[in-house]
Amino acid sequence: MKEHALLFGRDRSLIGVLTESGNASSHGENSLTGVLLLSSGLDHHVGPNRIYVKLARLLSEMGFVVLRFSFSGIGDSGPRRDKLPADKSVIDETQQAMDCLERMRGVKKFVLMGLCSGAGAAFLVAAHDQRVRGAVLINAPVPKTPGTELAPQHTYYWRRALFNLQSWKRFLYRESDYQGIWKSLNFKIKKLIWPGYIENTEYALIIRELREFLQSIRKNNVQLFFINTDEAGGEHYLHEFMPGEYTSLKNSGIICSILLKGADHVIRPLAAQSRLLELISNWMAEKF
Amino acid sequence: MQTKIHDTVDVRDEVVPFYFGTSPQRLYGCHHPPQASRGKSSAVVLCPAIGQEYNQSHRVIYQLAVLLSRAGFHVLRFDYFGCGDSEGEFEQGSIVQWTKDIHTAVGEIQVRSGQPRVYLIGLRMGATLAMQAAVDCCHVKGICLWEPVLCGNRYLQELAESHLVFLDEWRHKIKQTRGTGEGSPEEFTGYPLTYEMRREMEAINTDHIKLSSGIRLLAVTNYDELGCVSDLDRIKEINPHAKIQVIPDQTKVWKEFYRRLTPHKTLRHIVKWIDNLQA
Repeated sequence: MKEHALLFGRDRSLIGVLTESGNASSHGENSLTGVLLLSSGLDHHVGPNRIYVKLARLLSEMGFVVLRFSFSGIGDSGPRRDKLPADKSVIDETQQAMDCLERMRGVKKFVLMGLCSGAGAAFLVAAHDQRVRGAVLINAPVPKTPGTELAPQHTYYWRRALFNLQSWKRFLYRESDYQGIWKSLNFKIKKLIWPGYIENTEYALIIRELREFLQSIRKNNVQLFFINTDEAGGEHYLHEFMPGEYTSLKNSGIICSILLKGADHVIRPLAAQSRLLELISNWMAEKF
Repeated sequence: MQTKIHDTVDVRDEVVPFYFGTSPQRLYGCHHPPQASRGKSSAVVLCPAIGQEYNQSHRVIYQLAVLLSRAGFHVLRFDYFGCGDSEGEFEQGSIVQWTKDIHTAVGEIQVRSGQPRVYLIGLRMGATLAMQAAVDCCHVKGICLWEPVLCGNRYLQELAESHLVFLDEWRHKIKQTRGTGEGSPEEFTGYPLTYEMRREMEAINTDHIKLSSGIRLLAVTNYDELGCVSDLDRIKEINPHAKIQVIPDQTKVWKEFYRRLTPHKTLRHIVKWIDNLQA
């Protein structure tokens, strides 16, 4: 296994580490698959608890060429000089990383991985770039477009709070967000009795956009692997807001998902870290 | 010559990432070449914290490197063996190894910058390691200790408390996981702590570290509580030439960085101190 520090991108301001096996790829030159680990939130390219380093080393031993890098303004990478919004810049910078691996190692197909906002970025790029063949989305965030976010409380109440003793205690002790609960209940009832209700709410735009993303993912046969540490992640919003499309993709095997138990959002327990590596390596071995 | 410290982002800050040292213990570093028109006749090595504190303070160390390079210094940020982007696994690291890594980093920046004089700036455990490294490194001309770990036992206690806070916050999902004996690593908020590492940390006591009077020494704390200052005063008892500075600023920059602001006052003070040593 070899690791190389990389300075790349149009402005040569993005910084990352390339990890690859010392031998030629076990997959053969023509089918070389690159893996990009996208930085999450404000964490740099070692990932929370250094988990990206472990993951990169493991995948490189399996024959993948792995690049983990920090988005502009994060970690070692310099800031952008333009005013491109974050949801556009992550696409642009991930594409620059793919271009870099294509030039350096001739890699033409990619699997993107990320945790939290890194997963959000991976999903966006997967819907926009045909070189992407798969994405591992760890605790993917609630989908959003500028100005609109699928209301987080809807899925939270039905999937988590309803079954949580602490939430019920807070409810009884008047510590809950009753307005939020009412809004969610109201939304749920209307959704049940009024087909097409969502298309008449403020979520119409984002639902339309997500639908296009999912169509693109289906068309390009991009394999998605959702790993969630709870029942209220981005994947569950896809299920809640577009059950038809979601179920269809799940049935066709394009979407796989698993609940990683005993872990917090950034996977601090060591046992959960080991389990995460095992899950990802198994999925990669099966799909690529 | 003193240099104006720029903290705007108008300047194009050059960062050169690279690996150095010998395999299988190569270290990852980032060289920030001097941005000011007239470079200084010395270089700076930044010694980061370890474990979760490393992750949380990474950006602050980056910002410090940028300010120093804008002031005209060659700066090397680097990761210890088994930490960050460097080779090895965290549990393979040790206090002895990480202290050696500082020596390796000093040698590297001397070659890259052509400057024989080096200053060390360390945060938390990085400060303690820098102090230990400086004892037998004749090229180090000054050290800044930012919230150093003065007592290993207390540091371990703080790690354990952080881990308990984490377990308490996530108690609905995570059962307490603790090692029980030799060979069984404990874990503290995402990182393993081996039995050997614990033994080494327990032995840390900066009261026994006496530096040559030729090495300028600044100890910085962001707490103004009496206990913190009196702890740092112990450094002064052993090293009378040391300067102790309390800078009211963002505290605990190594914790939950997304909840904290950049400690600008502290960063500027450190840069100014080193700049003055050059003047």
